[in-house]
Amino acid sequence: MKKNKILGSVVLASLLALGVTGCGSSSDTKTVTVQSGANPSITTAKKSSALTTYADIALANYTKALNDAKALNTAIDTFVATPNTTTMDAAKSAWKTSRISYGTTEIFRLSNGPIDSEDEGFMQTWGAPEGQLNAWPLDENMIDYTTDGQGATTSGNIIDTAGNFTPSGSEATTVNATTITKDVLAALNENGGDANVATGYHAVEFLLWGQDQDYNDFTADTITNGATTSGQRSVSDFTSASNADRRKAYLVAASELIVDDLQSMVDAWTAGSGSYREAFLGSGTNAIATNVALKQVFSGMGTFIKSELANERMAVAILTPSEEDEHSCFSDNTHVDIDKNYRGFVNALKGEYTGVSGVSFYSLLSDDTKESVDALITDIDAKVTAMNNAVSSEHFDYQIKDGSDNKANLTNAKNKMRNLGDTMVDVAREFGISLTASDITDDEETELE
Amino acid sequence: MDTKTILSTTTAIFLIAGCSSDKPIETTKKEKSFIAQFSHDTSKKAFTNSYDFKTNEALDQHILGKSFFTIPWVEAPSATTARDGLGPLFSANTCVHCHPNNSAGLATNKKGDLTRSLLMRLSLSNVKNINNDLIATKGFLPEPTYGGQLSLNGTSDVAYEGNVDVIYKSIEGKYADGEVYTLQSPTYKVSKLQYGAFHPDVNIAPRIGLALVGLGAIESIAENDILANEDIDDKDKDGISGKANWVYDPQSNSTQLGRFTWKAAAASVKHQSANAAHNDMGLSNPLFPKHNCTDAQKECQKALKGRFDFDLPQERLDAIAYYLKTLKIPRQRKNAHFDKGEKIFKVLGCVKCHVDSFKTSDGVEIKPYSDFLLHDMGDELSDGHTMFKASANEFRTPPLWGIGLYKKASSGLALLHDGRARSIQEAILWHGGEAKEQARRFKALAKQDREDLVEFINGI
Repeated sequence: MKKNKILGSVVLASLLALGVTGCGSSSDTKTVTVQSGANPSITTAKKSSALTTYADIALANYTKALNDAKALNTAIDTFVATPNTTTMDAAKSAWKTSRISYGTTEIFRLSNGPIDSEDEGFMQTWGAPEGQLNAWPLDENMIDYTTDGQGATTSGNIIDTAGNFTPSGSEATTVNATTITKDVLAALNENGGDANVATGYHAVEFLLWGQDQDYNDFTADTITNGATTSGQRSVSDFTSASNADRRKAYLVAASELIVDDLQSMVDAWTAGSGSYREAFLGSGTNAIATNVALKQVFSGMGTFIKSELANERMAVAILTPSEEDEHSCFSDNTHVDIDKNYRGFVNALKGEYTGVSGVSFYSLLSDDTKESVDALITDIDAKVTAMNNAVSSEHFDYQIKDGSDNKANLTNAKNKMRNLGDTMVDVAREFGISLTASDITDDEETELE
Repeated sequence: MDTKTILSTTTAIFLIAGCSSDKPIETTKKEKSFIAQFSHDTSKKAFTNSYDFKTNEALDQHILGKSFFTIPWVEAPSATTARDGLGPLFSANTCVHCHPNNSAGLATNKKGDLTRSLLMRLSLSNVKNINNDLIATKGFLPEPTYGGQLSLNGTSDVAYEGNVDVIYKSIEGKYADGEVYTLQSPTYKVSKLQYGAFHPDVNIAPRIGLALVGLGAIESIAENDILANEDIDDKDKDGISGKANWVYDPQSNSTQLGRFTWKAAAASVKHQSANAAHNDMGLSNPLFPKHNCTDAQKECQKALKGRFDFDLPQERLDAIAYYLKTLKIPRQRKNAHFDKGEKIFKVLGCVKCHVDSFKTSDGVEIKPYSDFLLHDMGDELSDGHTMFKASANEFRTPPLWGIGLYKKASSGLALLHDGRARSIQEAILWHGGEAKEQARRFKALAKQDREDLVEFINGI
């Protein structure tokens, strides 16, 4: 352990002092190497219990996400059967609800689990549907008409092409989109490039809300609906407008795909022979060793909150600053995504989820690690609350703008989330797990001569 | 109560370990270099690891650069204000497209079609006596109608420039021990030219995307350390010359030592980033302020531009260069026959051009396996393209560090300037000109020695 920034934790700071005074070695040290640091009170049995709690949360949370997705699908069915502002608002409301429960499941990503494992064989049993569920950012121009910067309406999209459709980009393959079905959308998703997103929550979001015309232009920003206005798609897109029926078919198919994919996640985490849960908890033909499972979980949690949430989702949006880089840019629901993504991390660490109880990773940690983790969580909680409170006057896409009074809060929140991700190295160490380069950070450093 | 007990047990163990065993707790006064940091990662993401940053601001700058490097650019005008301005003529819409996972590009895809990682540089040959602004600033004379590079894509109202196909001819040869090898020699065919015929003197030079390894470290090497290996007239009579390329650097508006690209035609990471953004993606920027249209391309001239002065403004270009200069260098991966292979590498004389050690400006030893100088690689590899001091047969020695990770990172292997070599062996066998003797010696090696050499190269 040589990392300065990770050394910030209280445990290691005190170890540094102990190491120096205890051994009487050179006293002017800046860093210290610790090659072991497992907490001996964390027995194998306790590790297994904590993994079981994590698996229980995964099942409970994906089950909730599945139920909310079914409710979204039902609301969309009602909307397309009788399109009016009431049914449209109900569908939007169902979408927002579905994002709450899905948001907290994202902590299960990047952990070589069923949601996004790239491993062949057993791990592909559940289809690794993350890219189909939540791919982002998406090029809305591929799905339906948009208004470009000059006020012109774009065409040549899936909705207005009742026939063969070829996404833009290299090596895109042509798909017959005469009838919009789940299979057609799945074949178009990420066909020809990562931004060619045809499926998932954000495709549904775009069809329900439409573009949010808040151009984050550094110079003249003339096309804007304002700081608290999201996308303003008219219900007429689903009634009198051309291609209304294709738009309806698209919504139905896309929401059904979400249900299918989440069902697959529930199946993976439901106990039983051949399930992922069985393997994850060390049984069956595909059993994963306890320490391997722990390492996957810890590196996944650290990477998700630091690299994905703090860096990709927050830092890029804040630094650019561009609306296109906010997660839910059509509905202006990005603050909820951030809140729930972060909440999912706390859930997984502390073993907190409705209906779940049991030993948590957190409960097994030393007092000092708990203290440093809690200090960060208290701090981030306050910043997330401040972000949510500010939404009444400024949506996330305005909070990130230069000159916004709320920007500093978001900047600090993401910085603290990075620190929280870094603490997973400490957490892992107490469990006897060493995290290295490809996990969160590198355990090696270059030394000047 | 419980937790208190745990704490004291933990610290006690650390204390004991720190004093008794070899060195579980090691003290050091050394500080981390900011020019070269290294990684043990051997996954397909091995070239994408960021430095360990001391401040959030530094990490922010890296993340910002990464976002512009990886997220697709779109045609202007669009709602994607941060990243509109692609084209009007372009090859790819992201930087990573030609540098997959920051690794080397591939010449062909699984179907055998050329990928966009392999671009076609267009120039006029027979221009020795012409001296104009283009030669002075670009180092070559672009084809008058199509410009310096064939664009395979155009935005909505602008026609792409043309298509390229490749035909590979198999060439069989034998090692001294009788083992047969097969090389593939490419012939390129340009078709569907959208702006009329090429100038009769056109030269078409294929160039593949390079792996982006240790760019900041290379940039920081003292100029004299590179020039020390120059031997333009081969005074030591070892058959190897080595010549620096001196290029126009738009950033300083002066002549500088070329360190990057196949012909060593770029002086700095920012210079090459700006050049690639301009030529490969059609992004105007402070170093290449114009759009990449020739006077003959009217639709291209008329096409709507992005909303800013530049598609890629200064601070974003700076961020991209910063991102590329703050990526960890993969550590050497020493394998069973590494040391033996290294001896062969030296005995054969590979190390004369693939120089194994330099120092960064802050004194860290790096092992790029390049001298960053130009060498005559023979007629068979010649691309016919001159660039500043680089003649048609001359190429910069490409750094070899991380080469053993290309296959995983790029999902395939395509070596040499046009990606014709499918393996390290093939790449060595193609060496001609100054390195003809090294290729001959390689062919004369026993099979085990050849394998050891390749194992070594894969480990550097």
